[in-house]
Amino acid sequence: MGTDQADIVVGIDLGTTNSLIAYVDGDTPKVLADTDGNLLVPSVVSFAEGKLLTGIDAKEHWVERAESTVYSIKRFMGRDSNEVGEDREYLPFAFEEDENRLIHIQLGSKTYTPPELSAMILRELKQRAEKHFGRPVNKAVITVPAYFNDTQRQATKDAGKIAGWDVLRIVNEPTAAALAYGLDRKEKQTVAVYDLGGGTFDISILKLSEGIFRVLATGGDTHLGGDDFDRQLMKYFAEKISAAGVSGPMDDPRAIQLLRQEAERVKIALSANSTANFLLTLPGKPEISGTISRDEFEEMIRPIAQRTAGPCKQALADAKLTPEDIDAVVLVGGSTRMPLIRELTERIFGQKPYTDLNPDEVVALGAAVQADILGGSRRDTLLLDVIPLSLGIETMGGVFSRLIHRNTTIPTSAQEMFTTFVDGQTSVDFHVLQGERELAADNRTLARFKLTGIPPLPAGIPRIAVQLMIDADGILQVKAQETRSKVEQSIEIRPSSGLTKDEVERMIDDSFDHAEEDFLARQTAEAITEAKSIIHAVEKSLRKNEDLISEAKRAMIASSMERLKKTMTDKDHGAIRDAIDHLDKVTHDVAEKILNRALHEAIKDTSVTGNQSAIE
Amino acid sequence: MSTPKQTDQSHSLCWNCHSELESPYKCVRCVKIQPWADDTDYFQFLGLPRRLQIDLDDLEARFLKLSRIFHPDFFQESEFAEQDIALVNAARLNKAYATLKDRETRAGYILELELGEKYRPTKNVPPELATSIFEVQELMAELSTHSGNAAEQETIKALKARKEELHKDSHARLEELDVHFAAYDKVIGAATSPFEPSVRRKIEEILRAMDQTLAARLYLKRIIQNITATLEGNSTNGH
Repeated sequence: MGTDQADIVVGIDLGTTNSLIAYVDGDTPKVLADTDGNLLVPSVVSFAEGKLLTGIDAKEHWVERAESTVYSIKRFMGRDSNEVGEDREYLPFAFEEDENRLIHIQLGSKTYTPPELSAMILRELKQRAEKHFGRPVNKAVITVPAYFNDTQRQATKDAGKIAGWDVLRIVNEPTAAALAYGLDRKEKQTVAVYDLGGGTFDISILKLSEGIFRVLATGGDTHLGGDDFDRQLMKYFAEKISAAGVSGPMDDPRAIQLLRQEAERVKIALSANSTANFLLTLPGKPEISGTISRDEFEEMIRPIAQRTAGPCKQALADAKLTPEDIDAVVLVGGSTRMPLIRELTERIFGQKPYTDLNPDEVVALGAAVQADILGGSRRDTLLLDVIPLSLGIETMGGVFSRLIHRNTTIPTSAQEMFTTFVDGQTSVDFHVLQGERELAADNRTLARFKLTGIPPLPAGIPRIAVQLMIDADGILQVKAQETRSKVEQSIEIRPSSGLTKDEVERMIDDSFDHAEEDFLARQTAEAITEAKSIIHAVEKSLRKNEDLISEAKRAMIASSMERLKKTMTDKDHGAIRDAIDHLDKVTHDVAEKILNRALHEAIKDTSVTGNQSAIE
Repeated sequence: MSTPKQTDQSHSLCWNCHSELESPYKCVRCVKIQPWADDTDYFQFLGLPRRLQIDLDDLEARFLKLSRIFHPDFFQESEFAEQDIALVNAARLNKAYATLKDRETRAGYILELELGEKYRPTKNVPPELATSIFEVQELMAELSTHSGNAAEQETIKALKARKEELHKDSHARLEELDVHFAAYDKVIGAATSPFEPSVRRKIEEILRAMDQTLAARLYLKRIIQNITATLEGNSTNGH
């Protein structure tokens, strides 16, 4: 669509529990609300009444349609079925795996991959933005947990593309939060961002100076968050239920969902109060009620909360800092509202955390600032981020050879020379991995590729340069070249777990067409609504003010209205708008006369205008 | 901050508009950023003389200033050729800063620069460390034969004490690098030409000593890791 305005670039926080979209208005980042004023879009997709619902509409169905309502999708992004293990038994919806151990979730008659489900949330956010700005919005920055590996980042980027977004950047959540926190602070300082959300934990240590936000170290756990605290409460409830002699509460998806909802409610209540009541009303079972104290709750979640301490200490050590070097501890993510977490961070860093930011919004606001930088309107601010996990290649004997160490500032690249082991060997296999373990088998496979077309030479003679390049998204590109022959080399990269390029392309094609259609359909619907109300008003005025309008004029108006009605059935919003404009022009002078009469009647004795003759 | 040293780049031309470059970073005429020339080393690119005693605050300031020039974030809307230069330059700049910031990697880099690509770190065990390493290995072997008695506790105590000593030694070696750095800077600073044979001899002597220090650090690091792993393994096996 042609427009002379600069492209809008938005920031998106694609959360485990909720998602948000924000943009920079003038100089201030703002979260976009829906028409009811809701800022959060629940990251939920549901199949109900024959169609897919997202956000608030989907969440409404998560009890009675528990088996076809998907949430916490983020925990499955870029993960294979081996990696999601214990989540399975606490989730009411079913998933299957394909031959590549990729997860597929059944909704209605179709199955969807996690990036496709996330794309549905991202599409709702896109519609929200387009409604707000009244024009297509295509460019976005999307945040991910800092500790996401390459596959998880790639999956997020794919989700964005499927939803029709041009994803300008994948930004780390704690880094985005630091950006929002430090935007108006000019003094130099070292900040720790402790980000505990619905499903992931991140710790990042940054140095802020003169508009440059430099990450010194990052750490975390991509499988630790509010969901795990809910699960402890669910276990507790399940025990209460079986103690009361009610059997098998975990068999029924609706029951799981009711327990989850109650657990979430009680957890939140216990952040503000020292005790909370619970009421378990399972379908067809007797009600069970009780009271739980904050102390009891904290006792059951303490071991999980404690798991955040290790990454904090490691990040400090990697940054070569001690807790005394930290000027501020910034809390991000809904779970940091819990008193236990606040105490824990205070103990780790030896200071009271900074809690003035809204932990739900700060990541989206920071993403909007980064969007503003990439959109070209902000040159005074710059993020320098790091790669969270080491990258390397498997070498002889299954050893992991690190080529890029964790916490290296990105973009970065590394090159290593390889050779052949057998005389006349014309291809070499490479295995690229990410992780901190010494053996390749213990780390995460990112890609396997084969370098072919090597000239047949004695073993050890070919010199193959493999270059790993990490771009500013933290996403890997691999190049390999046999340096002696200078012959063009072909690399065949097979994604280890995730979607192939072709699959993503197909999904983009599918959804992009729909996205365009969706946008047009909405535009048309709005134009039709407007046209209807205008036609109604004109017809009413014509009846009321027959005497003011000449025969000829009436014919003109009638034909203009006919034209408008015809465009409405053609469903072309541009034509509808044109026809509305035409009708507006035709009725302009009549409208003036009608207005005068109305005024005249209102102010009985005062003559506003002397001319009340029919229009020629 | 001084302006970067103009060496052989002073007569190079802009890749885009072919006008003569006044700065190696950016063309003043068409404001396009310039690719990092292959013969420009980390010191030159950061505008520093080839000296090993580095003011870390100044180094950081230079790194941040150049990051503002080259970071890919600022080239999102630029043509592909310039985006590519930004990506490659930013990656090399990050590497340059990381390398020069740390004393050990800085020493390794100067060895490569001065001695060329054929330089291979020495594999000789520093003689003064040989006995110490031998003793530690004996203690670790003892630990695997004893179990659950007073002798084991003694061995653990001895190993921990050794580890502490080795830590101190390792730290002292890092300070030894500072001595080599000062010596190197002094020789280079006083020389009229760094290529003069007497100057080269002195420099190569310092470089050899630096290589030895790095080798000692590497050995110390490995043996400390081994002790830590052995102690951890021992405490988890039935204790």
